Amino acid sequence: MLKFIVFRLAASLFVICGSSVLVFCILYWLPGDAVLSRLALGTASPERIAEIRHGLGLDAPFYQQFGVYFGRMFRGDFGESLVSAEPVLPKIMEHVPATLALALTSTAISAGLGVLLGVWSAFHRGGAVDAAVRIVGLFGVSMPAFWSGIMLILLFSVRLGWLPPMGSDGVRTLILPSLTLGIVGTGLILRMVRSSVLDTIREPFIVTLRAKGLSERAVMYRHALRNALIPAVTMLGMLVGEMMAGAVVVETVFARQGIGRVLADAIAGKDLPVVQGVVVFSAGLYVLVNLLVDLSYMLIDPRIRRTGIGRGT
Amino acid sequence: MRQETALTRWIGRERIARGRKPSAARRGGTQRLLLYGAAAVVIYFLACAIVPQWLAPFPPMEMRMDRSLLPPGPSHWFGTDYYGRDLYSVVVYGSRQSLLVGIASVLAGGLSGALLGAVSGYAGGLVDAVIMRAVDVLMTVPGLLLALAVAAALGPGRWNIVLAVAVASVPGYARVMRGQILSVKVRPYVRASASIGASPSRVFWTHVLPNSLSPLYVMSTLGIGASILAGSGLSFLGLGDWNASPDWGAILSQGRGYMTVAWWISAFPGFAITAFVLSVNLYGDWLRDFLDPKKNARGK
Amino acid sequence: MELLLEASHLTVELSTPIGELRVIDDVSIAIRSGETVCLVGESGSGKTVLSKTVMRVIDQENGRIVGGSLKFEDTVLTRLPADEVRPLRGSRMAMVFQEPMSAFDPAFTIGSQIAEAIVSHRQGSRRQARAKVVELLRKVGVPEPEVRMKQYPGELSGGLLQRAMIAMALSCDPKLLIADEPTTALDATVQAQILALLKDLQAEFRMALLLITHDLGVAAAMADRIVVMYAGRVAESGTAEQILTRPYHPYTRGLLNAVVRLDGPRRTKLPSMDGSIQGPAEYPSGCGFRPRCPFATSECAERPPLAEIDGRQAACWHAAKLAQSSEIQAPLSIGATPPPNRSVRLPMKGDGQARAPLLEVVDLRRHYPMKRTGFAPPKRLKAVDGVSLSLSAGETLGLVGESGSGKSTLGRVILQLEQATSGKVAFQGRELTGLRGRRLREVRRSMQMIFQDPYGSMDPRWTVGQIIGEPLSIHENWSGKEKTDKVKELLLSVGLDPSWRERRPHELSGGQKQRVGIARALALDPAFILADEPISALDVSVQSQILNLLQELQDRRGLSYLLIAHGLNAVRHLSDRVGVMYLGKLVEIAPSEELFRHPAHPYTRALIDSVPPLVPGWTPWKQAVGGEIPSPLDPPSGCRFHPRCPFATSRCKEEEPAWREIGPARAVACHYPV
Repeated sequence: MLKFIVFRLAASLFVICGSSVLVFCILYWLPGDAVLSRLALGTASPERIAEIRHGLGLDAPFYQQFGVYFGRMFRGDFGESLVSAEPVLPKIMEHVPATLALALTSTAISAGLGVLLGVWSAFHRGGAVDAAVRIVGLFGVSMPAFWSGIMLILLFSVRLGWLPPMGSDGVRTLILPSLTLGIVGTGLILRMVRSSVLDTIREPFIVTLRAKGLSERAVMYRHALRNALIPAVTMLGMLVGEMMAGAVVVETVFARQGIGRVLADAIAGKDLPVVQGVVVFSAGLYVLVNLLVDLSYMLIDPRIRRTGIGRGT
Repeated sequence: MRQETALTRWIGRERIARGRKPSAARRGGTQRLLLYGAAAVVIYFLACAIVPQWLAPFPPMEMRMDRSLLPPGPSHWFGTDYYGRDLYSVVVYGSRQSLLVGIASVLAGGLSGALLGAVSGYAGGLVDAVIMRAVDVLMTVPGLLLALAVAAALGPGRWNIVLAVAVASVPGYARVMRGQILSVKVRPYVRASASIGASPSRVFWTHVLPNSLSPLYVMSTLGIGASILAGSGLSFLGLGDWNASPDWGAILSQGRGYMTVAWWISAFPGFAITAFVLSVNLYGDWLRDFLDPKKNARGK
Repeated sequence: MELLLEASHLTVELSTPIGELRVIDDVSIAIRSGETVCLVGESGSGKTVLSKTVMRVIDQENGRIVGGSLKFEDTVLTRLPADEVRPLRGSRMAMVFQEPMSAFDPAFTIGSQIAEAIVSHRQGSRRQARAKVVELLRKVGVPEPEVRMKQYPGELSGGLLQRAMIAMALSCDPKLLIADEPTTALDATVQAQILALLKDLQAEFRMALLLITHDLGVAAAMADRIVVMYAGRVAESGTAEQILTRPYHPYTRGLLNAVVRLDGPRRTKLPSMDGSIQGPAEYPSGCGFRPRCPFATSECAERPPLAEIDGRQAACWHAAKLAQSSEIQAPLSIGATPPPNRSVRLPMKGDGQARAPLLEVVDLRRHYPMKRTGFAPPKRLKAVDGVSLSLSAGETLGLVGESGSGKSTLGRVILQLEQATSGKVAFQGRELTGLRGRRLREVRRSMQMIFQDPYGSMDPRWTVGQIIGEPLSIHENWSGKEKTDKVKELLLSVGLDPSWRERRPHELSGGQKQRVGIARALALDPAFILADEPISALDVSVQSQILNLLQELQDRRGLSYLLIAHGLNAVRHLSDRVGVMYLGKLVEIAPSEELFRHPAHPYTRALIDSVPPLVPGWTPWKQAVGGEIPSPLDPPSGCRFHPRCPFATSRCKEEEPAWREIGPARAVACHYPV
């Protein structure tokens, strides 16, 4: 058990390193020069450009830049913003709470509503409830979050005036954004749970449960759900990633001061060190969450507890 | 391990023999109606993308300040924007960009992902280990974030969005394809072919690959929807093509500024996205049910 | 005895994607308390659906009782609301299923699942239930019940799980126990243990047993009365004695004749029925057996009623006539006929120089490295661990052993479908283990394989012609016409219509598919064919057809077979010599007749003893060997069989017995051969 956790931790570290290498390489090799595109509109002389590049260490060969970048990263230094010259990491940390609040509430909404609706739908498979829930799920995964967010604002803020349309302080500003992301997540989870429950009730052991006299309710909610939860939990790990990416869009729509907004601004301003920092940071967070998911398998699925074999990263 | 009685096996056989009626036909009217509706939506938007000039009542870029910010009405179905452009025409013309991003990035991401997965699964060993670790790493960065990083590095532009969305979708396809290849390659008929003396490449092309493709069809159908969502998201964030006629995401992004005075500018492009993605997803779901080997032999 | 369960004129329909199917048609059976009724039939006869109907679990599987009545004790079940059926299920009547591995919920412990049955029927609190679980598990022979009840289904062997399943069924003292093929998924030795257990428990709990089986041997051993089903109807019913010794229905007769017996003549042509059972949508009108029946007349177009004859029932217009005709023989009267002379020379000691064998395997090993767990050195799963054997031209060598004995792995390594870890395989004097790529594929021309699963071994997208033609496309540079001709010829030689080459596998029945598989193996005129469980996926009446075909092809073409099977009867029937494997090692090899008459190794003896013969009331299972085959990851020290061997001594525990010759073409690995 402990060995398993240590092993997973090591694997996660590897993956985080890998992903930061990946992001570094993408930003290094892909065409587009941070300095040039920032100064393109200005009238900087070639000498001035070279000077700036040198100041940022961008004229060093690849391996050297790479070494410097990694050396710093392990010391918790993600470099400085090209725009404001602030160090990146503190900037990220400052905005993390707002995003975390958003991601957690919307994940909670998705998980709760998604599992509930998914099982409910599977229980009434073929009926009207099922059809309705399936349509809801389809809408959830088909609506762009920036659109449903705007629609929510139009309805609840502009028309009804119930909730503030923007901002990032207080619980009331959290409602609409997390609902927006929650709709997406609910769609994903309920579709997953529904099909996974339907798969489970085709397993032979379900007949055994009926034959020993359990009610259909007990069969569904006690046994089918427990078995169906395993793939749903995997989904939950991936959902956190979805939510963090979705935060970029949703925070823009609702003008929330979170890391998604930082990223969006950095992209607009071609502030590559910040882009890099945020992406690597989110990847790390994502890996961490998935590590937790893997560990939680052991609580749900005894087969994994026994063998200590996870389901991949 | 699933229970397969002689009866269910037989029914499965019988269904294949009788031309495999899809579950939709059996479930009767509602779903068939939905599918027809979805087909109409898909065909309509495809037409918009191919021949927008036939379907748009106005040139999309025609600015006339005298009709600025008109609400939806008989002459301007979707209303007009600040510059007096007919929003319906803009949406019609924008479909080309949006659909292009959806389809092109699925093609690029799907093909390269499937290729990676197939090579990885069939070759096994070291090749598999290297490819899959790389895919693992790619997978750790959530799709849209990865696309954002790529798009940020590349700068705005249509093909850059396609590339960004495609790169982000590679790991998904690679994993599914690999899993499918792994499961097909140990099926008895593949072993049988090897035991006859077929070379590994022959076995791969004649048995393994053709029998591994069906989940890929489902995935890429659903992928078109997802790519359009991701692509319009990027373009909403300002990474789209600024020169060509704006795609749905970009129109919506412009409309956001007029949210309080002209709701229609942000409502209709998003509605177009939802309608198209929903229709495509409906087909994806249907295809999944249709191709699902487990459901073949069973009721409900 | 009082009537416990009575179904009269019961008719059940399933709604399926292809419409309403009448799967049970006008079936009447009665079970009295305390008796054992065996429901016998091939796949598709409706026996499983009938058992699920009795429990009314058919409701959740799109099934419906559309006619007749069903009565259990004093309750009429036919239209009883689900809420009122539920208290009966699991308490008054209980069920045991075919595959214990998949019949338990993998996410709960064994103990909690058994306790769940007790608690849900309000037979006690959780604490009381737990105490009862321990007691029940002990009763069904699960060792260390306190430990086992805390384990998950994936952690127990098939035999233990089936015992636990029985414990669960017994948890509320049922009056009727329904067992649906309870031993089909288990090894022969374990089957014997489970059947013996069921018999003991039945007496102790004084319950009735409805046993569903396709195996007439099991029915013979267990049944008071036998009901034979065919195509959703009862063909015949009567006491075990009546049915097994004087079958009235032509189907029962055919079925009994088709069974390969351990005490029958070897290598004779087996009497077999034509064709195979149809699916429910194709059940013919009138008598369901009509299309396959040798006695069918125009009368049979009308459905025969289940009529009372001589104190038993049969649904056949000709039953009375057939009962008297001299053609009905008691099928049990068998004298062991000597095997017909065949020009096969069994390899003997010192024979090697005179004539090289077709196939020679020397000290072959196949070890799988296991994933490292923790810091201990990785274990090796020794699937095949030092096997030597040889096979001459035209000979059939049978290989038997329980699942996990390594026999299939051995087959695949011989064919070079898997790489040997060490050892040699020489075929036609040529060493194969080092061959790779093109040169190895060239050798495959003369070594072919027939697979167990006729459903799975063919690419579902291909036509029969393409499947059979595949080896030709690979190895021969033939024109389309030449290939088509050859395919037609092959189809004819396996008894199929040449025009069938356009069909696809799913249009064929299991037996027909296996014929296609055989045709594919024959396409390149090989000298040697590995047949891995060629008949175990087939129905009894089809098995004998395939055995006949294999035999006929061997006689005509001088083929050599390596026949791998767990069914001893078929192996004995077809093989010249038989090898017995246990945990990766060959423990005995001998000419077929001798092996079965005088087994030298206790394991061979145990295997033979565990096969129920077709004699009513046969119960020498008390001497059946206990335990189950251990994991090949941790084989026992010394003689690997010693923990289960009734004759084991301390020497067996420490010293591995050497492989020694004990007669012409006979060898055994045992310190104390019988």
